[in-house]
Amino acid sequence: MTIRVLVVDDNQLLRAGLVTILSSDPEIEVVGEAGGGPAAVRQAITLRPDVVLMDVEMPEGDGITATRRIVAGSPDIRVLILTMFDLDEYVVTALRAGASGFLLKTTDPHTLIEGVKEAAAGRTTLGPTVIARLVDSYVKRPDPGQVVAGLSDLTDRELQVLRSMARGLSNAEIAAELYLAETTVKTHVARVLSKLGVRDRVQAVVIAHRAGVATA
Amino acid sequence: MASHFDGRKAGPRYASVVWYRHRCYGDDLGVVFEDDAAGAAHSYADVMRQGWLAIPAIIAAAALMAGTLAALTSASWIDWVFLTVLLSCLGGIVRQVVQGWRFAVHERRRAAELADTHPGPIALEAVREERRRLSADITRCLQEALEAIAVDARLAATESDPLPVVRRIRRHTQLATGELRRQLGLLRSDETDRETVAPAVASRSVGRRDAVVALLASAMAATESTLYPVIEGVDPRWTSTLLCVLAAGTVLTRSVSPGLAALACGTLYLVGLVLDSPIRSGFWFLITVAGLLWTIAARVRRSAAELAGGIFLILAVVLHVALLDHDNLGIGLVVMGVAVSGGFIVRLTRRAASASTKLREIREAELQQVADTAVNAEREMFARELHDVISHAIGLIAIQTSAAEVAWPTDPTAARKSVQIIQDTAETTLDELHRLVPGGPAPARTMSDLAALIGRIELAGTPVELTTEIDPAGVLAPDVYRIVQESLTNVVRHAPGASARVSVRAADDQVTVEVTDNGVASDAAAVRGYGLAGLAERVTLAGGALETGPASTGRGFRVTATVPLTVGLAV
Repeated sequence: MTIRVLVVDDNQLLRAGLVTILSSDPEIEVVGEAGGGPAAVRQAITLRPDVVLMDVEMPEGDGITATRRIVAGSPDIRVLILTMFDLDEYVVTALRAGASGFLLKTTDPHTLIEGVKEAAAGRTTLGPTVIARLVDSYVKRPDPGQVVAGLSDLTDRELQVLRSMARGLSNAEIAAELYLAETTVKTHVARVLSKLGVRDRVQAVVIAHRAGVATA
Repeated sequence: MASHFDGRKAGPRYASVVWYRHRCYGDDLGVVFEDDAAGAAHSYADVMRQGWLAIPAIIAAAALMAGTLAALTSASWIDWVFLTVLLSCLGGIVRQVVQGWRFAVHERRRAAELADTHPGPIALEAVREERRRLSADITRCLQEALEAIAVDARLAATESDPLPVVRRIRRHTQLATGELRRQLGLLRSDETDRETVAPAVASRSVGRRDAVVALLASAMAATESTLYPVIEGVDPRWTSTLLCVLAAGTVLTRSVSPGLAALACGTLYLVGLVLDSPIRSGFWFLITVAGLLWTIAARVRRSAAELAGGIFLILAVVLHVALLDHDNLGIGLVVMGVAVSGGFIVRLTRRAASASTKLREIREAELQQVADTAVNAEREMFARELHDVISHAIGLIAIQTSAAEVAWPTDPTAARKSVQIIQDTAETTLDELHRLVPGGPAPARTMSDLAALIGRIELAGTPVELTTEIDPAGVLAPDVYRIVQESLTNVVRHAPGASARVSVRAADDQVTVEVTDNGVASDAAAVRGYGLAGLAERVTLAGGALETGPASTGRGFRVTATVPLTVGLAV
């Protein structure tokens, strides 16, 4: 099964470059291109891609608002923000809007393609710098009264796994830390995601930080 | 290129410090401290070191006066020597007092000059200095990266296997991105690590000078306490000599603990009294007893114990001399009186000077902070302009690099096309970069650029309300855009959680821009205003005006600027 991707950037040459990169992998199919936020939302509704690669600053409507609309309309679409810096002002806003992760424009094609595949599988992890930014944001501007449904349903072990996820650890790393088999961790992660009602681990991490579980 | 990567950290501080030295300590001294012809006298010690030739001159004058006096009264040569020493000491005391007074006046004037120095011009000066540095430094790193990309792209177009060169291009884009990111202050860990210079603590150990003086005093005491009895034809007593040498030696701890030295010296005088062994007065008395009394009297931070030690010494000496050495009581009292009063006068001048010095240092720190703020703001403003020009280009180049890399094995023509795009983009961006001068004109912006800017600021979490009647297609002068950009960036940075209002109005022949926020007012507001010093200068050059201050509502910060219509808005 191929991963259907929508590419959004205001620069046509950059879009063309992305199409070249992504099409080189047989598992990925670029189903559409958009040059601005509103066009991206329209395309997402009609084309129903698995993953959207989204630029942030576009003259015809920004990528963050578009992300919010796309995710609100179709929660199963994963949006990856395409950015120059993984630490700029938009990181927190983008995650709140429902973005599943970030891809740097300057990474090599292999990482770019893997990033799209990971996102499609719901396995995207955030880098340590982004996690630090996230912690910073919620510690400095706490979101009081954010009771997330499902959080109380988590078992102690699942809460433990969520905390490790919030620190940006991968399944293998969590397994090593908690002395569990990686398959067991996978099961825990899946249960955490379903109990919290989120579609990927990045959003679970955002919830963990928002509810103050991550730092507990 | 890696060597530039420390540039920002060392940059602003270095520049402002250099400027500051230049301004306050260097060649410009004549401007700031106009009649300070003597030049760089920065501390009391410096003042004291000046004019050391005065010391032999004083001794010569004292010798001459004493000689005249001795000749007139046909006194003996010993009286002449004694008078010479006494007059020299008196001259030395007068010199100390005069120089202490001069230093106090000097410090007071410097403090007053600095208090009158308005931070505005200082901030501006710092910004200008920074601009001179910026153009040479910041641009160069990114320029080198782009030049390297252009060169490598040309190379890749002709190589039979362009992949290694293409990968090198991506490395250039990553380096350039890192540099941009650093310049934009996204990594602001260095914001808090201000250099704290430990204040120089005065040396509190027995120095070589103290040891030499103590040795000299003891040697003189030993000589004098054996010589005088011989001259007078009495047998010298070894207890007297021992007590005399020990008493003279107490001057050793003059700098470390003058109170303790006085206590020890006074005790020895009392011991001499008990043992009925007179401690011979002599020239050593001028060094040790007068020296200790002088030190205690002149000390600015003097403890009660030190004062008590001094009084104890005077009493012990008076008692001892009155009972055992009555002939020398008068001269002893005079010497001690002169030492104490001279010391007190010097203390007064030192205190006046140190109060001024403290004021001056506080003021200097304030001015330094203003200068740093202005310089950092200017750097970031320039970095943002750099970012606007370069960021998109670097992103495009990076993506095309990856495209060339994946296309090469299957579609070399497409790969060559990507390389061509990279080369064109790098060259165009280099042209734009050359036009970018710190403090120079930025590209013209439209009203819709302004709206996009506000959108970006809102994405960063600060709600902005824009009020304007100007047409979206209206072309704004760069200054208008910059004013809004810098003011809003300040809101994001200094007033997290606050919202902002922007109003752009065209009336009569000028455009009025106002940016206010409802953040919490803080003491930092004044300093924050100086962050816009560079911008204010540009606005003024364009015939406008820029004002900053607390918002009229009493909460938050306000930036108001007027720019002439001809420059501010060209529809």
